[in-house]
Amino acid sequence: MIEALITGLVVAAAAAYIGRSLYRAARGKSHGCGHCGSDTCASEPKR
Amino acid sequence: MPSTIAILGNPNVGKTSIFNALTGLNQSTANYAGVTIDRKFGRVNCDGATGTLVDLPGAYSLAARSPDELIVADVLLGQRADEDRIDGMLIIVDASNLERNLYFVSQLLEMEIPAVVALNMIDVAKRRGIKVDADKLSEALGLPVVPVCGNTAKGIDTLKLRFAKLLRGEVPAAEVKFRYPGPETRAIGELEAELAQHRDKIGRDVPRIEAVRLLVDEGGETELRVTKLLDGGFPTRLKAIREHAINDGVPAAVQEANARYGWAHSVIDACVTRPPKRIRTRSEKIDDVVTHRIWGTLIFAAVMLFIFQSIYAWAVPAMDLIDGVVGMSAEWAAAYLPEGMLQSLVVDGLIAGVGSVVIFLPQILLLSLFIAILEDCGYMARAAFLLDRLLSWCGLSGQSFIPMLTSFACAIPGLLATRTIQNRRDRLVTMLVAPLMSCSARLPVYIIMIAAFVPARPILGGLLGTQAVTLFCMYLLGVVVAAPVAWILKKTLLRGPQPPFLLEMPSYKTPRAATVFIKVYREGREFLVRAGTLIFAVTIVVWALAYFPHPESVLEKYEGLRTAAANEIADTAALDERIAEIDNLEAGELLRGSVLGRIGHVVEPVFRPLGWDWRIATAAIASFPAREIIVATLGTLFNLGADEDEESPGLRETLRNATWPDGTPLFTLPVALSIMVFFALCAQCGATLMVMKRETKQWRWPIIAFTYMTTLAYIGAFLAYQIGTAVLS
Repeated sequence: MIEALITGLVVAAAAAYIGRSLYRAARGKSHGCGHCGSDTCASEPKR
Repeated sequence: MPSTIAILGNPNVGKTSIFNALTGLNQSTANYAGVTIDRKFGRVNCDGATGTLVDLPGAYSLAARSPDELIVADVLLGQRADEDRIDGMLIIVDASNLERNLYFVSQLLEMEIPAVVALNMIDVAKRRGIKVDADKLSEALGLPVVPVCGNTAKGIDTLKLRFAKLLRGEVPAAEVKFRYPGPETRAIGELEAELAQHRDKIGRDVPRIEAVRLLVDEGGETELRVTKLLDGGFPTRLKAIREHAINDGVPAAVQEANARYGWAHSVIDACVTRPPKRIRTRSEKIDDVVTHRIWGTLIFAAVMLFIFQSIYAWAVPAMDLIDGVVGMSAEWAAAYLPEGMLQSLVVDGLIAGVGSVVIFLPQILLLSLFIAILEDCGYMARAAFLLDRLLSWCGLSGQSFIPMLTSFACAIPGLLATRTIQNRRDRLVTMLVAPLMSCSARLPVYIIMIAAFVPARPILGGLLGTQAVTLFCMYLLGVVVAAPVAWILKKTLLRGPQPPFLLEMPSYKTPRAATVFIKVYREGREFLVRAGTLIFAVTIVVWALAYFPHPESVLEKYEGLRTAAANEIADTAALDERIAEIDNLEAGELLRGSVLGRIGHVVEPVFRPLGWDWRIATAAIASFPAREIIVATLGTLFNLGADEDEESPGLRETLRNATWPDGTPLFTLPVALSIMVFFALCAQCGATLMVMKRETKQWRWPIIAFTYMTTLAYIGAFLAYQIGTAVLS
């Protein structure tokens, strides 16, 4: 039971992450870097 | 007190190097023009004074001709509503090429705001025998001038002190140092008065420099903007004022250029000493060979082949090490987690999936190391020069080379780099073909297929190998396909004349270890972050789709078979063999009955002509958001369908052992080629398509790119499989 719960939570979290990424990409929000378009790029301008 | 300072100057004069030195940031730099294509911000604290420093793209003039130059003009003229006005300027000039730099400086002086000049590249000027008297230059410009060498940080401390004064408001405003001819000066005044009358419609005061641009740049950006705001009669009045500016038949634009260059020559006469005879520099001597039509092309091919051979030869020990760690982790997890869905999630999903991708880190690092070295030493501009011939054949110019080259690392910065292309049609053509260049995300797909299915044989006495040459060919494929695609686009949708190509050849220099390291580190970090986020998440979802419903009836059926086998077979070895066979049958049936298995079987007929089964087809479809996902998905799918008791053999061996239901090998050389060709040509990157939409401001272009690339990929993969099968049989 606990095993199924953990697995279910992990899968749900992964699906939510993919959904969020796709939503942000569709809104054009995940490409703010100006260098490589990544959310996490080290060269992201910092103000 | 100035708080926002802009760094300005011509392209490739070292603006970003000085930006990094003053802010302590690590923005990307390289030894060619057009690296910075957008604004970059950094906080500075010099000698107790603080402010914001804005690094801008290089520009030759405020008469913007390309999107990156437009950014400079917009920021300087305060046209960006979302940004603070610029309070001061840090002007960077190249000491070895002062004349051309002073043309832009003459325009910046007209801004009449405080400025400091950094006289950069004094080392290059010295090698050419050019001496610039900084004090006299300061006198001529009416601004503080600091000699610096951005590469070695020589003079940066003095620059910081001057910069602190600029931040504190202790530096005087720049003044116009030259005069326009009488008719042009009067016309500028006339236009200023005209614009002042329309202040309400424009919504702000129009500075003199903007009036100059409006007068001089016929059909330019300033004219388009002002005309849009004013009534229909304005273009006629502007035309009349332009007529007034004509002096002895010489139009305003030519008068402006003459006035500026005349002033630049007078400044140079006063403060620059040149050798009586021009010294041929080391860079020029090297270029005699490196840009030679035959030798240069041979050197380019040799450099590329060396890179691909090294990626294979040098990465193996590190890859083996990572492979060992991944295998050990899988065994450890299998031993400590109880058998069941959680164990399967961790072993078959996470470790097999993400592990299969992470193993390619050494090759990604090596590729980015070579690209960073070539960029920093100045070779890339030479490669652009050499490839101009190929690009001109398909209607493009060497201008498109840098964006296409950048796309070999990632198509997104490649698309952004097209901002340096002045003509919109050429920019669009370059954007549409740039994603065909093999980005680093394709590398894992090539490596796994080549390593598993292309036999390793020596070529040229062992200097090269068949695997490295195949990898080189895969990279070449993108270029070879891009040429006719660009040609067709230039003849149809985006018809237009062949653009001229002017490229400044930077001096060769020894690559800076720090610059190279930062680039390699960023590339590696980016790769790992993607593996740990999106790929990680997709792997979990793919695992779930490939694991469930996992019906009890199937498990019970095979448990019954195992019990029967144990009762019937006395010999231990024979029993083990039979149990392994039953395990494989069970894993296969569970996978086929899973959600993903059912979907896969529906789409399988579409991909059968490419030689693919439903697992490859499903993995390719799952990879449309990001192409590296295929490796992780193949890792998960083929691990789930394999004998779970077997020691982890690595994805390469697993794929080699994969079969069709009738027992024939699934992966053959034609299938591997078909997969590689599909991935080389397909638009499997959601982020690239979104950036294309953002840059073009239209959905039309990403839709065209996606459609033509996916179609090409399918046709290419079909031909690779069918021809490969025919040849090998």
